[in-house]
Amino acid sequence: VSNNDTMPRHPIPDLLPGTLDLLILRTLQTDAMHGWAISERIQQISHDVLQVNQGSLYPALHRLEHQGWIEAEWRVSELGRRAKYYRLTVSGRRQLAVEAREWERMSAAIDRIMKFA
Amino acid sequence: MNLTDLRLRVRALFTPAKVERELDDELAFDIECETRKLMAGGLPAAEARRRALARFGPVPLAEDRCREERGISFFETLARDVGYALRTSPSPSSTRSCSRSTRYGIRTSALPIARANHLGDPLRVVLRAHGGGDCETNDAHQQGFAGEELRLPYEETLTKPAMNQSQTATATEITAEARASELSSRTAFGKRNRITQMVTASVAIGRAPSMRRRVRHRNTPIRFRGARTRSASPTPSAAVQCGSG
Repeated sequence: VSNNDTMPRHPIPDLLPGTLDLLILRTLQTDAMHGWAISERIQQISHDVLQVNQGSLYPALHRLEHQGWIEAEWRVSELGRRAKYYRLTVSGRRQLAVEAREWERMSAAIDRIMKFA
Repeated sequence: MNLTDLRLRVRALFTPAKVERELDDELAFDIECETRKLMAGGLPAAEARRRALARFGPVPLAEDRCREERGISFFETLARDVGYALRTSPSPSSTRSCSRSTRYGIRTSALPIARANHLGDPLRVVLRAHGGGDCETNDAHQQGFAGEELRLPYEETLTKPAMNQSQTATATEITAEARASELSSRTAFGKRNRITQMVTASVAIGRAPSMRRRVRHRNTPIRFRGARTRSASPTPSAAVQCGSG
């Protein structure tokens, strides 16, 4: 049985604060993507466990853009329509490194509690 | 605030139409992508789009949250208020705004109350232009503001009885009415300025005027994009103030 069938799906806002930002930054680490592709990628990589709510995704993208961690560019998409592609900036890469470290620390702490508490 | 933030805020402030268009395009593109994905999975186009919209959630809400991230709500409101203050040309745009505000007002305030309280009679609505002046009021009628049929999701499709030019609604079967007030004022520059942004929607329910039950409802200010609200008229039964966007 796949994760699809056994794991409940969680809208990302239910996760820890800042998680969505981290996931977006990480997803954009390799390629520039538009919003829909980002949400699809997160869903796909998480085996459908995580579904990004679009009502949270786009405000988060705009917030990250204002923070200078991602930048946007309008390009013609695979559908032949103009789409807004986001890509990580240099400061975004630095921020991703910081947040990834924090996440690992938090994750390890929770893991210890689950095992030993 | 970093330089990128400042640049984006300035851009949103000075090219608001472009920024808004881009936001619309971006969200519409998402919905189109999802629609195409569902269609590729075998769904008919209409159903695919319906599901794509459902998955997305309320688009206006997402738009508002994106706007909040720009951080210029105060300046946007200020700029629009200044625009209103400087607007001196009469009629069409203001009456159209009045019409739009009235429709919003009825749909958002008067109708739910009427729906919850009406006695099973056919529900009719009169849009009643009020205030301003005869000329302005007639303009409002010519714009279709007063003669419009409003469609509702179910049996309470509203029909609008013919209005005479005196704007007196006397038909006993009228159970809901809306009133759009065109306010006049003078700008700081001494020019006459028509502000058409207050709507009161009142609901009266019953078979005959004597039997109508006035439904009291607290004033509910509703802000639309780029709107400012003003105080309601003194005694509306159910009032809603709508800004004209």
